[in-house]
Amino acid sequence: MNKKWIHHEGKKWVNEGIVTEEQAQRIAALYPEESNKKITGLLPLFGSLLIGLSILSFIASNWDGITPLFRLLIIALILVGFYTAGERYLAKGQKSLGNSLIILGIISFGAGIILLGQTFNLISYDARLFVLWSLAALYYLYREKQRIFYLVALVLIGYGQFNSFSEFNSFSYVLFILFAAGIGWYTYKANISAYNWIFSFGFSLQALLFFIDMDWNLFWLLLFFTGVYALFDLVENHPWKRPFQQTAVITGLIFAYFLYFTLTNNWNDNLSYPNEILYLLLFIAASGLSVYGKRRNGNMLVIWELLIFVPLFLLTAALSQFVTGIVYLVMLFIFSGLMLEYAYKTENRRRMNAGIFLFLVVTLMAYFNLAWAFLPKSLFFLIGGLLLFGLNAILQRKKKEMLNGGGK
Amino acid sequence: MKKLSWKLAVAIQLAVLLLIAGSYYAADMFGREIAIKTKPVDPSDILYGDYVILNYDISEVDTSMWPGEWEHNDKTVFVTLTEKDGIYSVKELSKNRPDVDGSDVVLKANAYPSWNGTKDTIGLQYGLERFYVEDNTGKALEEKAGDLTAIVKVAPWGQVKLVELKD
Repeated sequence: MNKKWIHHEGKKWVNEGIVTEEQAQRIAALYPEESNKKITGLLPLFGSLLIGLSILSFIASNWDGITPLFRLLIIALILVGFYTAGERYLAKGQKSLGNSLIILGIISFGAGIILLGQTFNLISYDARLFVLWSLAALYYLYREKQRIFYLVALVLIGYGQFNSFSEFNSFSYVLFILFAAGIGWYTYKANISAYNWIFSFGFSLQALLFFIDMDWNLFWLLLFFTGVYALFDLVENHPWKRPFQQTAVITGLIFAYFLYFTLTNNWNDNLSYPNEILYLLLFIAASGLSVYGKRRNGNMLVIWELLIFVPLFLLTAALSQFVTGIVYLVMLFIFSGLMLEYAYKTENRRRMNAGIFLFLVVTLMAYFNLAWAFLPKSLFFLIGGLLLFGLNAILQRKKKEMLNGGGK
Repeated sequence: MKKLSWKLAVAIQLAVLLLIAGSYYAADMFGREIAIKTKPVDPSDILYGDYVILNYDISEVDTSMWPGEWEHNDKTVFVTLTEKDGIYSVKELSKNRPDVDGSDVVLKANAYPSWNGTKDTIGLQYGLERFYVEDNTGKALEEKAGDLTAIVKVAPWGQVKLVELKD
């Protein structure tokens, strides 16, 4: 919090008689002066980046004339230099400068491997570069426990996995283990909300890549997330519960959107479905587990969330694709309605906003998909805009009523 | 403790760099030299800044050569090469590293589904598909990249090293 802001607000509190002048000063004293600190903390970072860039560009422009062994020597010197300087500043207590130098050290390690690869015409068809590279970042993450190293490790592992997938068509198990164990364990220990969310999103993305790599029918991914959702119902109050369950629900929403569009537009005539009976049985098992957990832990109020995982696509066995698509649309409306009802009931402001947003998106989606062909375009946009304005106004008014008149 | 551990971490990173360089010098010293022919690459623009893409006679094989049923999920394969008139070509593919004698050599490859214009084939990547060039010297090489002989060293531990390209 900004100290200036506290001084400013403190005057108001004194005038209102909420606190005395002395109390206001004591409150302000609790917060350290930090207005200049942020910007000066960034300067060494930019400074070290610029110096690093100058060295790199100088070497790059003379690179061709340097013998391989001398190249290795230069890379080694740069690496040791950055790390040594970084450690020296860290020992002196200059965190931001020390950390930036160490990040330059980590960067030069990876850059060194790449440059040596080019020197020796080496190409690898797996993610070993990123495995080695992210290990260096993980080491500093565990030692320094700084956000910046979390970010560096996450980017190296995440990009490495993406790169392995897009360049070599393969899912790197080693990188997944580094993510699940390395980042996961740190996330678990640190127990910071943002990390928990980032980790659950990252986990979902890796699961997606894994399923694609295995050539498994992607419908199984939906079942996988149903299972993840159900498993977290069994634990009472784990910091990972909400991030993982919400990520699973969001995945379910994405599936529902995709299926709605695909089925109503007949984009894919022969969408291949998983084995119906097996899927249904496993789904029943997972949702049974979820209901059991919810009953035990008193979470029955959010039982409607399970709706998003219901394998409505199995209806294509009896109904046409178009009708099944419409069933998905109806389900999405009901789902957002249930979310709103839950939010009103519990006066959960964030869920209210999410519910309103979802409801508007579903409405717009249905409108675009179904009315596009029938209406003249200008009328189409006009009605669409009015529809959204109107709905938004109603929903927002309802939200205000609920939040203000809560006592009634 | 902290002091020791960071020095160890830096030492490990240096060791990794040394190992990469060292293994390639070792491949040079202990490796067996083979020659393979290049062939034209599909994308016409094969000069990617600082390297030229290479395609070899051994980079594509018929799906019937695959041991058993060709599955796209099987990615690693061992390719036995045999020599004729100084040039090596594919003799067989196997899932485990085979024992060979005489002048035959085994390369590990990354297999992927490919298409030769008329039928499905298996593409094979050996880690020899890039040749890094000095700035602005790639153009001349690019024009003849489809008809060169590549000299490759194959180390006893399976590592391959592209040594040079000859006309």
